[in-house]
Parts: sequence; C-alpha cells; structure tokens
Amino acid sequence: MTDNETTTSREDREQLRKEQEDRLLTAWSAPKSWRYWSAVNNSEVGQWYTLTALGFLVFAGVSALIMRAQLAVPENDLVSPDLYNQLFTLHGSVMMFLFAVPILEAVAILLLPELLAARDLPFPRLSAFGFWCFLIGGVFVCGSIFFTAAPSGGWFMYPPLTTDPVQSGIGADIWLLGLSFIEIASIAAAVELIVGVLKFRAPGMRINLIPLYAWYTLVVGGMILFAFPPLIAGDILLEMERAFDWPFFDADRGGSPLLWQHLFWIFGHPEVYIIFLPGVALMAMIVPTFAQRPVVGYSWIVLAAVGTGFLSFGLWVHHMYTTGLPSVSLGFFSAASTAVAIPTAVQLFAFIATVMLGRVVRSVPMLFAAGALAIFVLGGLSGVMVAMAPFDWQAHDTYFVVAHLHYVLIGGMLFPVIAGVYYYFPFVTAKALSEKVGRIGFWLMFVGFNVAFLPMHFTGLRGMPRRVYTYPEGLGWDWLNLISTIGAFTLAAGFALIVIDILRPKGNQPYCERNPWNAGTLEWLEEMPDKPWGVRSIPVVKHRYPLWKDPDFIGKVDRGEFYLPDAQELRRETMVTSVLDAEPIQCLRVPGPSFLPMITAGFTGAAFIAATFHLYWPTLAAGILALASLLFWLWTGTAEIPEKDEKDVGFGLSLPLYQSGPQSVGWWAMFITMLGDAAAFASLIFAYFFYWTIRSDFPNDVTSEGALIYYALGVAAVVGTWLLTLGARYWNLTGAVFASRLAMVGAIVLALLSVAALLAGPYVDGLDPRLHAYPAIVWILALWTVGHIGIGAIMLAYCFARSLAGRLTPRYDIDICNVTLYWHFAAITGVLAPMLVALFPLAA
Amino acid sequence: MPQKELFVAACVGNPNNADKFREAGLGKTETFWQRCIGWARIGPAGLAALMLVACDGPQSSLDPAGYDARRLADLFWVMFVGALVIWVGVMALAFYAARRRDSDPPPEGAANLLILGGGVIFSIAVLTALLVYGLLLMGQLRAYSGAG
Amino acid sequence: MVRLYYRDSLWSLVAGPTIWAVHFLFCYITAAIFCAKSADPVADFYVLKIAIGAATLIALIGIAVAGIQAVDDWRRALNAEWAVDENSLPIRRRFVGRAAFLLAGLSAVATIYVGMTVLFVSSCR
Repeated sequence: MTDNETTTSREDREQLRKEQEDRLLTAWSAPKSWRYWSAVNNSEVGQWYTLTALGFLVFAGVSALIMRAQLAVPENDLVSPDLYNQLFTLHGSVMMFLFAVPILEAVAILLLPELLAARDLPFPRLSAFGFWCFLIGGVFVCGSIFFTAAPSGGWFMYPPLTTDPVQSGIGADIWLLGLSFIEIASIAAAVELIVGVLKFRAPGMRINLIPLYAWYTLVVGGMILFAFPPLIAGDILLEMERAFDWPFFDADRGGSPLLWQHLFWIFGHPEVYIIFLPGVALMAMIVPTFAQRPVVGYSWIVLAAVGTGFLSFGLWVHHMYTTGLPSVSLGFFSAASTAVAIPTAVQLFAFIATVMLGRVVRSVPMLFAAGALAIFVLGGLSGVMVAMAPFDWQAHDTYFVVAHLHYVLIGGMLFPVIAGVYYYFPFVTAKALSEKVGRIGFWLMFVGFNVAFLPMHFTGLRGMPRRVYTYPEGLGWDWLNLISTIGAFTLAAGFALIVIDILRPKGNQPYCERNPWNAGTLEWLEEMPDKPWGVRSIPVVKHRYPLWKDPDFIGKVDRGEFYLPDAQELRRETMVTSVLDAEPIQCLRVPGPSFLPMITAGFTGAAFIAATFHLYWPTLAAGILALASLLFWLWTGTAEIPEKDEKDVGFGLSLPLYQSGPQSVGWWAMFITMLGDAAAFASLIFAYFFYWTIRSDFPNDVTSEGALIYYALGVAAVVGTWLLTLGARYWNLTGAVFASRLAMVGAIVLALLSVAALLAGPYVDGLDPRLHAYPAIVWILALWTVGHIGIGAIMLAYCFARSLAGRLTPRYDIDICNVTLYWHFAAITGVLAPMLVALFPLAA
Repeated sequence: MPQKELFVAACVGNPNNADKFREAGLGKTETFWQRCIGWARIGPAGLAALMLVACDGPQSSLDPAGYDARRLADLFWVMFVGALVIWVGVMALAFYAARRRDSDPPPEGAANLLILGGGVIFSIAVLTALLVYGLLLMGQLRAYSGAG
Repeated sequence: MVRLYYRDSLWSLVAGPTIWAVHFLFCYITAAIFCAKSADPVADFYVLKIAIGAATLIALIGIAVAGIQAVDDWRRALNAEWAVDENSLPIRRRFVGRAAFLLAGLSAVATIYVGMTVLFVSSCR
C-alpha cells in the first residue's frame, strides 16, 4: 500500500462524512425566521417548555413574596383579604400545575432522546401540541389575577366553598377549565415519555443499562397516567355542578363535598412524588458524574423508583385525617405513608454510598445537590411526623404543614432542578453558567430558605392556621413571621441572581469543551455548539456509562461508525427497539416542522376559554375547528406509507420502515392513553360507589323496565360495534378490503344506535340531574360512555376514509389496528357503565 | 424574644453552615470533628432556648391543657428528638462521604452494607416502632369507651 | 414450580407492588363498606379483623411466590454462562430478578404495615 492510496481513501472518507453531515443537516435543521415557531424537534420544544415553566415559577414566586410582605407584621393591610386569597390560590396552583410538573416534562423532552441516543421523541408534534396547550392555558390562568378574577378557593378547590356562587366568581371556572386543559397536555407528554423510554433506546441498551433518569421518567410517566385522570374526572363533576347545577358535592341534594377531596387527593398525593422523583432523577445523573464513578446500587435505586411509584397511590387520605373517616381507614393510610419512607431512604443512602466510593469534584451542581439533601431529609422526617394521624390532628392546616411541604418540594424539587440547570446548561447552550454567581446564589438561597421555613414549624405548632391574610398581635407569631419574611426575600434574592446569570447575554463567552463535566452518559456525546441531528450516528450501547468505558466512543459516533449515519432520503429518521432488550425493530421516520400542533392547540384552548365564560356556541365552533385541524394533522402527518419496505441502517442491518400493531409506537401510545382513560372511568365508578357507602338515599330511584330494555339494546349495540371493528381489522388484513369497509360502516351505524339507546335509558326514567346526586352521576356515566362511543365512531369513519383514499391497505394497517385497540377499551366502558347504572339500583 | 439564642440554635441545626462559618473566619483552625464537638457544646443551650420560645402561647399545641393534647405532645417530642438525631446522623454521614481524604476508596461491599443497613434495616426498624406507637395511640384516643 | 408469568416480562418487576396495591384497595374498600353498612360495628368488628387478616395472609403468600420466582430467575442467571459484558441476556435477567426480589420485599413490608393496622386500631370512629 502506498502513501498515495491511503491519502486518497482518507480523502474519500472525509468527503463521504461531509456529504452525510450535509444531508443530516438538511433533514434536521430548525426552520428559519417566523417559521421557527413551527419547529417540533425535542431541542426546540424542550427549550421553550423549560423557559415558559421557569417564567411561571417567577410569577408564582412573586406572588409568594407579596404574601410574605403582607404577613411580615400583624394586622397588616398591604393587600385585601380577597387579593390574598387569589394570591395563595395562584401560588399553589401555578407552582404545582404550571411549574413543577411541566418543568419535569420539559427537561425530560429536552434530555430523554439524547440520553437514549435517539434523534427525537416518538411523537414530536404531540410534544409541540402539549407545549402550546401549556402556554395558552397557563397565560389564561395567571392572567386572571390582573383582572382580580383569579381563583381564590385554595389550590385544592374544596367545595362547598368553590361551588358557592356568592363566594366564588369566575375564578373557579378559570381554574377548573384552564388547568384541565393543561392536565390533558401533561398526559400527552407522559404518553410521549413512556413510549420514548420503552421503544426509543439505542440498540443494546437493555433495561439493566438504562440511565437512571430514564427509569425515573418511566415511573413518573406511569404515575401521571393514573394520577391525573381522577382529577380530570373530579374537574368534570365540579364544573358540571358550577355550570349546570348538578349537585355532585351538595350535601342537601344527595351529594358529598368529601368526594371532591378523595378525587383531588388521589391525584394530589401521587403528584408530590411526580414532582419529587424527577428531582431525584437529576441527582442520580449529577452525583455519579461528580463522584466520577458509576452509581452504587443501581437495582436498589430502580427498586426505590418503582416502589415509590406504587406506594404513593396509597397515601391520599393522609391529607384527610381530620375529615372524620373511620380510624381504621386512617390506620391503613398511616401505614402506607410510613412505608413509603423506606424506598426514599434507600435512594438517599445509595447516593451517599456513591459519593463515599468516589472522589468528589466540587462544583455548583454538587453544592445544590448537597443542599437538596439537607433540606429534603428534614422535610421527609417532618413528613413521617405528619403521617402519624394523631399528630396530624394537631398540625393539620397549620404552618407546620406549610413548612413541611416546602421542605419537601424545595429540597426535593427546586434545589435539584437548579442543580440540573447548572449541570445541563452547557448541554443546552454550549456555554457555562458562572461558578461564582452559582455559589453566592446557592448560599443566599440555602440560608434564606431555612430562615424562611424553619421558623414556620414553630409558627404552626403555636397554632397559626394556613391561608389567613393577617393575624392579631400577642399570639406569639409576630417575630416568627417577620423572620420568615426576611428569609423569603433572601431566598428570592439568591434565585434572582441565578436567573440573571441564566439570562445574561453570553455572546463573548467561549463555547464549553465537549463533555465538560467528564460525564459517562450518552447525552454528553453532543457537540459544542450543538448540531440539530442529536447524535451523529446511533451507537450500540453495551454499558451504563459508555463514555467512560470506551475512550474513543465519541470519536466512533462522530465518524458515523454506528447506525443511521446518513439521511439519504433527507428524512428525519431514528431507530425503534424492543422493550426489554432493545433489539432493533424499525427505522422510524418522525415528522418535521408544522404549524398544525400550534393551530390545534389554539382552537382547543379557545374552546376551553369560551366555555369558562359560558359562551357555548363559540365553544362548539372552536371545538369543531379543533377536531377538524386534528383530523387534518393526522391525515397528512401520520401512518405515512413509505416508498420502500425496508431500509439499510448500516452494518448490513435492514429494518422495516413501517410497523403496525404492538411493534409500532402508535399502538403503544394508544394503549397507554387508554390506560389513563380507564383510570378516569374508574374514578367515576368510584364516585358512584362512594355515594352508595355514605348516603342512605343512594340510589334514590329504581330502573324501570322500559329503561332496562334500552340499556340492554345499548350494550348489545356496543358489543356489535366491537365485533364489527374486529372484523374490519381482520378482513382488511386478509385482503377482503370491501368486507372490511362494509364492517366499518356497520360498526358506525351500530355505534350511533348504541348512543341513542344509552341516552334513552336515563331519559325514559325521567332522571333530572339537578334534583339529586343519583340522577346526576347516572347521567355523567351515560355521557362519558356515549362520548367514548362517539369518538370511536369518528375514528371508524376516519379509517373508512383512509381505506377509500388508499392510505389504509392490507399491508399498511396502523390506523385500523389502533382504532381496534381503542374499541377494546371503549367496549369495556360501554358494557360496564350501562350494566352498573341499570342493575345496581335493582340490587341495592 | 432572645434572638441571639435563636440564631445560635439555627446554626446548630445546620452542619452545612460549616462552610459559611469558615468563610466568615470562624473555626478556621478547627478540624471537622472539633467543630462537631463545638456544636455539641452550644447545641443543648440553643435548643433549649428555642424550645422555650416555641412552646408557650395561647394556641400552642405544645402547651397542652387536656389529656389527649398531652398524649399528642408526648408523641411530638418523641418524634422531634428522633428526627433531629436522624437528621444530624445523615448529614454527618454525607459530610464524611464527601470529605473522605484517604486514598483508597472503601470496598464496594461497604457501600452495599450502607444501603442495606441505613436504607433498609435502620429505616424499617425505626418506622415500624413509630407506626406501632402511632397506631396504638390512635386506637386509644378513638376507642369506643376511651377519652376521645 | 408454579410460575405466575413468563420469565422475560416486566410483570416480574411489578408483581409484588401490584399485589400490595390490590391488598391495600381491598382493605380500604372493605373497611369503608363495613363501617358504613354494618348494623353494629362495635360488636362485629372482629369480622373486619378476620377479613383483613385473611387478605393479608393471601397477599403475603402471593408476594412470597413472586419473590421466590424472582430469586429463581436471579440464581439461574448467575449459573448461566458467565459474561463479563454488561450487555448480555443473563446479566439483564439477573438485574430483573434482583430488582423484582427487592420489590417483593418492599411490598411484603408495606403489606404487613397495612394489615397490622387492625391489630392496634379496632374502631370505626
């Protein structure tokens, strides 16, 4: 071999690499100028999401400072009682719904694909849709305070305070509809993240090699899926009572305000862990990097994450210890609340053990992680205290609880998030934040936090209740409150310093070197500054910390020595792998920029906002437009038929470009969404039986024979629709396209018949939902069921149209597969709900 | 209000303030352990002051006037002291882990032992005892014939 | 040996916690209905105690089966051809078995906690 030949081949390789990079760049570049806002890629959407969530944090923080200023001295009149109520309601609601949950989703959207060495999330346009919903809903809810129309019933919106038309104005509707809208976006993000972790991992990344952050994301996604639907069900009931006077929570008419507390806290307690676990997840990435060694006790931490996820659903009544439930029931929840401390302790000890075995590199992220530990452990310990029901009888609704929850949330979430901001800032912007400012900011925040919240334990034990806008002198609360106020402003000063450091222009500052913290995980493959393609080639992962294991790993990825180093068709492509062992199963083309998510979110938001003001015709119009844009988006952007069956992804591996059924990501998304839907349905069933256990006048009516016949017809029609849908899928698969289309039409007809029959049932019984909670819950169950059947009918019509248009064929059958999956769940709803409302009154 | 004691007490509760003290020129020549002993000396005085401040007051739950309230105050004190001891222990452990200067890291087995001992055995022992105490107390206070 | 589910499935991880959840729901619902509907909750409280005691026993047996199965998977993976490579099927199985075993342990503790409530609290008040 001569020198000349080597040079030539090297030149060839350089040439090829250059061409590949050009093609990847064409495929993945963000759109320019005003079209930038049509971007859907996870880096753009993740950044918008993060910044918006931080903006809401500042908003909620300022409202807290106003409250602290009001409470600094006794008998203060800085703000009026009504404004104070709006401030604490918004502070809690915004922190929970617009900061804590969205920031974790934002960070996960930003990080997850890079952590798993995927090029994007499975449904980029869905993330964009979620972001626009979040922005619209959040601005709507927060903006209300500038018209003194903000909700004022506390972040948990307890009826009867919030159903009283005199005591609560439009604010309660803004809360219910504005936040429901955002909850839907949260569920969408959860679906996205779960599918991402399960199906988008780099080849070879078996479940024992997943970065811990992804494990936590998976658990939190699952928790969102089961925790948010009960709240959405509760929101529906409460808004029906407010808008149409259906007495779900009115004790005079067969309802119970306690039902709302159950539904709210079935959401509300897992919510605390939904917020806390992502904080721990960030610590699980930061601690090993700065200890410069793999995390100790990986399976212990997975145990803790999964265990916490489950146990957190058995805690909700510990917010209700003083509502007069049977003490034996309180005992169960006290026991579960105690048990959940075990996995929490395990995770913290695993981090300490990691630090012990490593050599700690001092840094700002580590400083915040240490601060988080100190604060969170104290919050956890006071949490065990209030988990003891007898002690809670004393501490309930006092400042002790305020202190406890802030120790948990600020230690478990805010400090880890700021640690994460410092750690991942170079990852996002390729520039570093100032170490010096970070240290000053940390100490101001840490000292300020403790000065603000440590005295609150004592304020509470000395009897100061929560949510009072002022207090008299001489009860021993004066000094403690003043100290808390001083601390709060110190905390805010520290935070403001950090925000300034984040926002200051960094044009002159040099870019960071690559992998600036010498981390071991895949997200640090990224170039500085970042390239839009995510990873240059999709590596084969054989280790939990591949960057530490193989010093040339970055080089191999950069040289395109792994999968998909090219984008020959100029399309955005990434790999789908199997759930347990990450074996490659598909080369998936993900959609590119589009304004459709933004437009759909806009119409959806308009529908919710119009409903808030009881403008039902505009609501309907906006709803129809939202549905139309959604269908257009699906029609043009999903289940695309590729130009060839398979594609060579490198190493001689050829992967299909199209998959349907359980192999496809769409099937998983539908399955996961429907699990959440089933949780909402279960909440409504829970409501039904809840009334039965606590009310002797429930049910107050017996189903008539005429109604029974309608219910039976309805159930039969639902089962028929389901069978025909199965038939449509089967015949389509076997090539009998005409029979398949016929079955779809038949299914639609039967679905419409079942809608009519199921509405006729309660109608012929003359049930008036305004008279009593029994008819109201029957009507809600009927409406829920026919709503699902109606949506299923639209889906079938969509499949029918796709089949006619040649976009749904025997070979390419994603649409009908997913619709069949939907119908499995819809059929369960459509059989269970009518049977319950028809037969239970006869049995009871 | 004895502010000085309060300040001292707040510092005692926070080993993490060590850095701040050092920066302020306090305890410059002391070792970590000497500082701990120092805290232990001023600790009880500060705590006692803090407690005195915290307990009185017309609405204070720590100034019990009835049977149930006394039982609940006892529960609080037990948990308070326990929580304080655990918090100081965990912080000391974390500091030791972070500031360990010996050249060889402890063996992996030691780390697993720490997780097993601290995270599992210790936490289950403490939590079980506390849960039994809490449940017994609730059972007594809410018993059909009791002084509920 | 009785197997509850196929070895290579995520069920093994969630089996223990799922049994805990079902047991927890059973205890909560049974107590709620008993306290609301019983004619004489003081005299009949022993019925609730027996029901919850039996449920706890059954749940613990279920968790034990899940735990034994997890240990079995874990052991078998250890005995399989030893691979230094972290990226191998036996190592993955060992991880799932170990994590499933730990989760079964946690579920057992949590189930005992919930079940033992009726030993100390005997009242619907």
